[in-house]
Amino acid sequence: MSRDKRTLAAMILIPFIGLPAIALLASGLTYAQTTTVYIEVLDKNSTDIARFISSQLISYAKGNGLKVNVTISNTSPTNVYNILLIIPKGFYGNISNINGVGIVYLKSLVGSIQSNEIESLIESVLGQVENNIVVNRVQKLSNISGIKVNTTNFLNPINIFTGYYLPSGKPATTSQVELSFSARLLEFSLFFVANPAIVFMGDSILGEKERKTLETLISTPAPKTTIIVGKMFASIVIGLITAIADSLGVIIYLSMIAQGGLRLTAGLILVTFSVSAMLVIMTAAIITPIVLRSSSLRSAQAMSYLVMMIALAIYFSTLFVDIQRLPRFIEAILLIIPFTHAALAISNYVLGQYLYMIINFIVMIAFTLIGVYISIKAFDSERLIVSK
Amino acid sequence: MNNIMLPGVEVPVDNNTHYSIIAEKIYKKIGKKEILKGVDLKIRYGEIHVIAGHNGAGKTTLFRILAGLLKYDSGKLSVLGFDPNKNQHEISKYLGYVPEDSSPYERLTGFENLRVFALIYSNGDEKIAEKFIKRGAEISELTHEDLSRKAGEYSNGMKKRLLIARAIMHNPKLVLLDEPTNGLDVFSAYKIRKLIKTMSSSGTTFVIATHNMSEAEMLADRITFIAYGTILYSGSVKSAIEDFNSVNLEEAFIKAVGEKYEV
Repeated sequence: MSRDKRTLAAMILIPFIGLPAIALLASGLTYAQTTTVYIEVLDKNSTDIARFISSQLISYAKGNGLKVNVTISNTSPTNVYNILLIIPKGFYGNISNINGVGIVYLKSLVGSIQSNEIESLIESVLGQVENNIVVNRVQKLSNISGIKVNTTNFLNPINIFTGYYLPSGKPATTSQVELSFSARLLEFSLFFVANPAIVFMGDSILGEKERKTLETLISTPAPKTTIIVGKMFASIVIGLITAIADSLGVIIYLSMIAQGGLRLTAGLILVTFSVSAMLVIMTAAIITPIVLRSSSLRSAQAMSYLVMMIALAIYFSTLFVDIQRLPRFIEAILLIIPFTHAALAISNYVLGQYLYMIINFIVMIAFTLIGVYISIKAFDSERLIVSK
Repeated sequence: MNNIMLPGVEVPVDNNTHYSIIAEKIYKKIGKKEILKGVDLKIRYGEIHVIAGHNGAGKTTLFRILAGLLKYDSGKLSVLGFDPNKNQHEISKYLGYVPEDSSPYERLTGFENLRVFALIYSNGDEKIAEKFIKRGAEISELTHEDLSRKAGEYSNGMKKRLLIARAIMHNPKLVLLDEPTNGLDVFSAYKIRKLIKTMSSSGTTFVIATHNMSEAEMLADRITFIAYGTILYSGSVKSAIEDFNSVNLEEAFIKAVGEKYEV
């Protein structure tokens, strides 16, 4: 612990301070930038429409935390703008005609990241303009035909009521829906939980070899089980402290970049903490046999990362799919990956499937015990001493 | 008694002597390289036995086999009455071992270093551990102030004294010291040799590997020459010098090695 003080401090502080700082910086920069929009109105009858578009766009952008500067003119732009909206001659005439089609040109500056978001906002405003045109046309037809028309119902003949329900069939509350979204983000943060344990476990055994203290230690009567479990325990404690800091950093980061923030409850925090602790313990147990069979600290870390990255890559894919909806054999493959159960435990808690959550924990404990057993079997003093 | 041992020649054995180590035809390969080629060795209880050999002779591999850390491929070996291939744990209880390339925990103080191992040797018994620490501190001849400092701040000589003290504070029956004075200055080497001499008087068997023949001559009750994985000679220092018709042990060793390998 003493040797790792500085490393530990760095591993805690960097994500804990760094990630929220990145989020602040990213959101600050996003807010600081202004998107320039130039509306070139070549049809003098459409000036009011251009003004409507401009005011709506500024209002939408403000609601999305974006800044936009709109210029309306009847001449071509002399500067470079992020977006050009051209309303050509005859636009008003065309949209006023019951069968006419008005044309606008929407052009975005190549390579401008902020243009995409503003462009979609302009399309929304144009959709609103379109809606007004259709309402006018329907009213016109209604007046001509003498048929009374409810324009709202005419334009929206189907009402869609959306909602969520739980696997049990019961309707999900808004809180449960929000928690489910938060759970996905928390599952994402688990990646950062597993990482420090890999580093510390590798160092605790092979680092000791490199510091020339291992050979004397294994020549003592200390049982190999005690040595392995002791090393694992030390790595788990340090890994857990670091993991908590890392997770908090990631959660703060995600809360800052996720619109509306994360919804957390005491239960979800407790479950996430328990899953994180179990994940650190399980990771240390899985990594130990690899470390014990490696020839050097570098090769141990390379091998550990390789195995972990493969496992985590598959585990990550589970964040974007519903495991239960996958073909049986793919589901089976995912379920034999220990990390899948960490993610599932959180999901199952949020969905109220507590029995499944307990099973996920039991599976993780089983993987841990298997890891410890294999580690004890893999402990070979000759290999540890002779390998370069 | 003619103690000259060449490959294939049996070691003359005094059946009335009790041996802490008996090795018969020990072979060991690491990778594709045969490191030990039929080592025969007998070491008596309570003696300082020096294994002298050039770099790469197989001294370190032999020590690791004696400590049960490496498994020998064939032959017969008894260390304190146990076979190291099968009973490493039993041997470790009565063993003090300082590998050539070893270091104390540099981020721990001298006292903390002693304490870690004292707790292992005492099986967690605090009272016994305290006695071991006290004894270790005395053996090391390091001051209380030095022992309260981190071992990383020690000189090489101080580190070596701490390592040896840590290895023998529990009063082991057998102590294996691999090149204990290698790289140390004259004063530190002298202190360590003095420490070994003092400790051996209490009946502990010391087996010391060295390539320094002057040191071997100063320390050894009996000496074994090893070269290229083979034992060339085993006997007293005096008889080694006489048998090889030499003026000192260094010359005797060169003659012993030269006879067989034409170095």
